[in-house]
Amino acid sequence: MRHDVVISSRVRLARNFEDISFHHSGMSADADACISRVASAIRGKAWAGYQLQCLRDMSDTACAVLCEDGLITPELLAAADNAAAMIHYEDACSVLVNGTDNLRIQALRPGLNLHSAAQECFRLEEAIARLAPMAFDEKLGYLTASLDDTGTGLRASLLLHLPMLGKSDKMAEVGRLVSAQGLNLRCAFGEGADAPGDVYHLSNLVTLGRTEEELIAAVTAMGIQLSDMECALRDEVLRSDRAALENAVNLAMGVMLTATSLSLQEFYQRWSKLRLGTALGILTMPGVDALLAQAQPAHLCAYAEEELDGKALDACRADRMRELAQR
Amino acid sequence: MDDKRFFRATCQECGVNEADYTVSIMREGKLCLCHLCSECMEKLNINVPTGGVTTLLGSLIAAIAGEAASLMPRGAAAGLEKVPVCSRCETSLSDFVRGGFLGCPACYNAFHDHVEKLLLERNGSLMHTGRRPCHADEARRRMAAYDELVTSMEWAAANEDYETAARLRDQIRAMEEGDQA
Repeated sequence: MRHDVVISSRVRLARNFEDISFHHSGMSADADACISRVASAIRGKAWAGYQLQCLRDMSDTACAVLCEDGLITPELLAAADNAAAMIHYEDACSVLVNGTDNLRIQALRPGLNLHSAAQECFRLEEAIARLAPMAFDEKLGYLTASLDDTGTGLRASLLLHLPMLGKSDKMAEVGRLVSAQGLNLRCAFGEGADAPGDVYHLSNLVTLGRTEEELIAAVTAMGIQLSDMECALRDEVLRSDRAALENAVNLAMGVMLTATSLSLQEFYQRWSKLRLGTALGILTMPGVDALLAQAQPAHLCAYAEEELDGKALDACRADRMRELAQR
Repeated sequence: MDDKRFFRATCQECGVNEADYTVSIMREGKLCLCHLCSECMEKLNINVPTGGVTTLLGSLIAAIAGEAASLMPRGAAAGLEKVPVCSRCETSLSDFVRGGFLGCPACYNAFHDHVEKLLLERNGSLMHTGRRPCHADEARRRMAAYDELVTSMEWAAANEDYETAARLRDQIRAMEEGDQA
């Protein structure tokens, strides 16, 4: 099933006002103007359910939790003094103010659902466009701080769980397929040959010369293709060595239920087995995707209500995962 | 011997060694001096000058800009011509090349050739085909309506229908005054 491979979908639009510099240029007067303009709009009907958070008024842990949840970005966190976010916690949508661009509108959806995420982004974009003219060029499209976003300003991305495909000899072929479509596939967490958690991030690279619908369709089609390749490999393993797979899944569950110290790296390894086991019906764990965020450092510090690092963090992670795995 | 007579500046690149060379560079549109030690000169791939300032400056800009040195306009290496700077936000082309970000919408015009080259390389296209903001559509509609009025007025005048031409002229003036307001 494709939703067992696609963990989540995200659409992001980069936008700037015509009369305000791109924030990173360091003009704080412009940064304040941008926040004021957005704050004045939040009382409108289009923004029902959204809360405006100024990052400088939040604790470091609270900001880091938002980042780990994907509601804000590390770039916004780095610009916290002048940055804000309009967040709809229930719908997992946010508008980031004064990050790399004046505004970054983003929506997250579970599973493969770029269309729904895009519709919410476009709805918010129309509400923002009523505030003031956007930086837009007839030829080049929406003007952004980075040329990587010029044009549509759209980044459509999927988070994929590829435990079989990622370790197979087909990744070179996958790389060629992805590049040929103007897309990018990379490890979602960290760098290196081994993707932590076997989680990959697929997104469009091209932003100019194609419509938003074409870009979303390209990412969706590639996501489906990669899902099908992953599922085929899973079926093959189930046929050839189901017992070994079940053993690996049960070992992972055993660690989650009994470990007293769990590093993030080890968590990723075990989590990947648990997710695969859930997808294949070897065990039942409906909240397995939520564990990804809950195991991150800031979430653990918030859970423990104190700053943790090193061994204390690993011990807290083990406690938390034991609690969540037993539910 | 009085040490002060032989005071040497500290290298501005490493901040540790004494500077062996002083070079002139363009930074944010202004000519300024930069003191460098031999090690940093070598690290920045700058040869001990055998020519004049031209050669050294070109090397320094190339070193700072990295691979994107080819984007620098000809003559910038001479150090005598300004590196392009955006008049609105004062971001220079070298700032953009170094940091990877533009400063404001006006930078797209200020660095037009370089921006279009990079966009074409990345996207294979320079024509936006996606969504447009509401105000852009409205502006296009107004332009089209204005052009139609002008064409109609000229046709009416050419056909000696001066009453119609005068009415259209008044409509055109009203649109122009509305735009200026």
